[in-house]
Amino acid sequence: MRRGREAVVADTGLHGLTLTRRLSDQVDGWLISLASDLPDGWAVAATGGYGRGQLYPAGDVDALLLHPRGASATDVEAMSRRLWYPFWDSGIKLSPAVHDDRSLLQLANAELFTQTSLLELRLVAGDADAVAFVRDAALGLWRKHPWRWLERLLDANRNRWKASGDVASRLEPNLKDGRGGLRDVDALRWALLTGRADVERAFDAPIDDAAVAASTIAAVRAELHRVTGRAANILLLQDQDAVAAATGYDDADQMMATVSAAARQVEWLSERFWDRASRMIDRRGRGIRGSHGGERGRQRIGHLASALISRDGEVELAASADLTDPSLTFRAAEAAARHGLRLARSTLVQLANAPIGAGQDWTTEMRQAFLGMLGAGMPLMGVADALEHHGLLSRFLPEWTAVRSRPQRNAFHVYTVDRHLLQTVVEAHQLLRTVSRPDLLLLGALLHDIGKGSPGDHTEAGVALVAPIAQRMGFDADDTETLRILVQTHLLLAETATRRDLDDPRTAQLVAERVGSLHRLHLLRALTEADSKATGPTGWNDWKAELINLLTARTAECLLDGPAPRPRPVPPNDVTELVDKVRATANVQVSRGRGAGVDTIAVAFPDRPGLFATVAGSLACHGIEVIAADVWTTADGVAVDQFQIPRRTIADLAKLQRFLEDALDETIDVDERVAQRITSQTRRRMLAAAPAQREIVVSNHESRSTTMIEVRSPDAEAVLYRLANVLHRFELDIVSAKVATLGHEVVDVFYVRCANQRDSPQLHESRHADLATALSAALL
Amino acid sequence: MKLITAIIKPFKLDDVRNALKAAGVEAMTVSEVRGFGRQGGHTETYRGAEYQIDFVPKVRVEVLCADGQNEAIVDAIIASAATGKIGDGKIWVTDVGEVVRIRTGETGDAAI
Repeated sequence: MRRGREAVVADTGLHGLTLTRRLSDQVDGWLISLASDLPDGWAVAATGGYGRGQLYPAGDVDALLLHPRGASATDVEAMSRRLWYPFWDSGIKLSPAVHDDRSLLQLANAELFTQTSLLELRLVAGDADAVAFVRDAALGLWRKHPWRWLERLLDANRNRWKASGDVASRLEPNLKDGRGGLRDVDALRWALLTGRADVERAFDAPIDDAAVAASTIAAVRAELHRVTGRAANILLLQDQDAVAAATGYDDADQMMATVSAAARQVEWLSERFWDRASRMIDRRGRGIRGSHGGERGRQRIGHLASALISRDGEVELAASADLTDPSLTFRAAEAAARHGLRLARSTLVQLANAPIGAGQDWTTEMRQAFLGMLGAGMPLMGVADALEHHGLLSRFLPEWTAVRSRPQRNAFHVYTVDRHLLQTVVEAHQLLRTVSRPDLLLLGALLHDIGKGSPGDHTEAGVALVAPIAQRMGFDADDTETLRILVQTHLLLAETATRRDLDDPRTAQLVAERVGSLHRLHLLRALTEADSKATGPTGWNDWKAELINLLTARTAECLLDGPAPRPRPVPPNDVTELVDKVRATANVQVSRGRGAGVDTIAVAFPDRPGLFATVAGSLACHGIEVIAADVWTTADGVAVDQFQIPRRTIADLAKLQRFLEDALDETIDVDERVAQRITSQTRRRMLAAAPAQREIVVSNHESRSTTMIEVRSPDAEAVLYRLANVLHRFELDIVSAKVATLGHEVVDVFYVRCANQRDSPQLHESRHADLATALSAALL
Repeated sequence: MKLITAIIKPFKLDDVRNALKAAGVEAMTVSEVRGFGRQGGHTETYRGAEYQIDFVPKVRVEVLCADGQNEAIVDAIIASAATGKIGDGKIWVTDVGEVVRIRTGETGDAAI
């Protein structure tokens, strides 16, 4: 037997399921021979993988000796010896079971995996009726209490997934027990054996889709057994070259990418099924049934956002959805991530079939929805997987294709490149409050290793890729440069902190020169931590954190004298004409322009206290959302406030100008108008899965010449106006303002100076708490 | 036999490793540790908040050697780890009763 087994295993013409089938047939032959004179009522049957006719080269033979009730212990022992000992003597692993039908079914009724093993019981030798009786009885038990068994199966799945991680993104995946692995396909098949129509509906794809993907993974597992000679399930880095060669791949990278893609297919089908099944189990537990015994009668439908609805835990497109709207994909994804829902398969198919070209410039709505999706934390993973399963992420970000399922063959990384990038975004979610531009942190996290899909040094390749991506997304030149620097320096803090003398002042100075500003340093510090944590369990610890904090603090000292972000001493050329008009007319002037992915609106007027608040309030009264704002004052006292706003949001510029004239003349009470709007525009908002918390930071440590005010709050009407009004009350001039909306949270950053104290322009620290309290009160 | 333990600044690890290799040392153990000596802790400021660093990150290098080799190894560590500033670290040498190579069961100098 041993030589026979070795001959089959050594036959390099046999691979994958052909090999496992041949090994199974071989064992069948031995058992048939050993059980040639079984008495009536006795049978030998195959269970588990062997029951399905699949035996791996180092796998156990799961065999059952079924005997009649009341058979004598002597007979049972004699038969067992005859059947099992030849296997053990030959060194072939055998997991035997000996039962009569009653004891077997009692055990199956109590224990999940005995039950599932009987669902695919296969006669090898002896009494066919006895085996058929047990198999049918087991199936009857399974179908009698389908929800109980499905719940147990789901619990077992969850424990397995937690212990083994996922196959698609692990660099050393567990091919059998990992999420997306072979056991997931078994679990789906067992679930379908309940024979229920509603369970079949929950599985919205042919089981063959999973079976095809499983055969790819099974082929690699078979070679892993053959190469290592062990019943190995984890494909270790050290074995990957040999297994790839044995399986016929060009190299290990090609094999791992193929395994990853197959596992994603299994995971996709499995996750969606079990998500639906768990809701069904939950409802059964609470005694809720649909009107026809199914689930459709209890679907809960809710409005999420324009053209988006939620139905029974999934995001769907409303009938009014415009499929040519390029923002629809990310708006649906953001809604799913923010509310902890899934994207419905029908929605994904509709979006994938929408007539939208790949790689086009993004609109502001697209960018904001995309950043909102990135800022959702852990739910991002499932949503991004769902998008990319239909090619929707790489449609808008074609550079993603090169990193998708891409393995990284080193000892530090745990995940494939794409999963590492998404994991970095998730880790960055915990650090959003340490930076003033969470949008840039999230995007930097997503793109920092994007160059790993290109040949050559990944940092250099990433630097070349990131600027065009940022421009396509509509970021301005400053932000594009910040993203470029983040990608270029994403290893700088970690490498410098551990390999350079931090007590040498030149070390911090060199880092400061490469980073360029405090605001970028904060972003880089957060990116470094997120990147390290997303690398693997050894990537981040207190020791490394302390070195990096030390370097960051010393670099920050070097950067304190640098400029605050975005203050400009003179208005740009495109508003010069506007300034001249103000000089000529002494009247408010408004102009509209176009920036990268946004419109701009500039308002010029002779400078006076509170001007910015009045203008911001006027925009709010017209429902104009502000993305960013800059402020200048010319030497002769003309103030220019320039706002970036989403494209196509101003229908009537003349009307806005007339409103501004009245507001500045105080013919219109802007306060009252804004209050009316806040009352009337109580939007239909679903509560986010994790509502934003309000937080206000006032600091004199970001610049020597200004005070920085960072306000985070849940998205609401006229936030900019309300804050600017408070700053005016505190007699603070706004040097620059940046407004970022990140899903359900807005982050407004102001750099301000005391209006009447040029010698000490920063707000004295004794007033910081009062200012923070007033700002907080204004947002209530 | 001796066990040489050195506490050094993290950025000096590459220099020390190269120096030890040049001195004929074939094996060493390296750990990330935190502690303080005369250098003590210190206060840093980041994003407006002060925080106290009570324990300073260091690297611990451990080398086993035969009697008589320890002085050359200690000299190599001193030469490669010194910056002349506070916080350069410390080296101590301890007697070792026995060493066993687990794989082969060799003992004494043969196991080093």
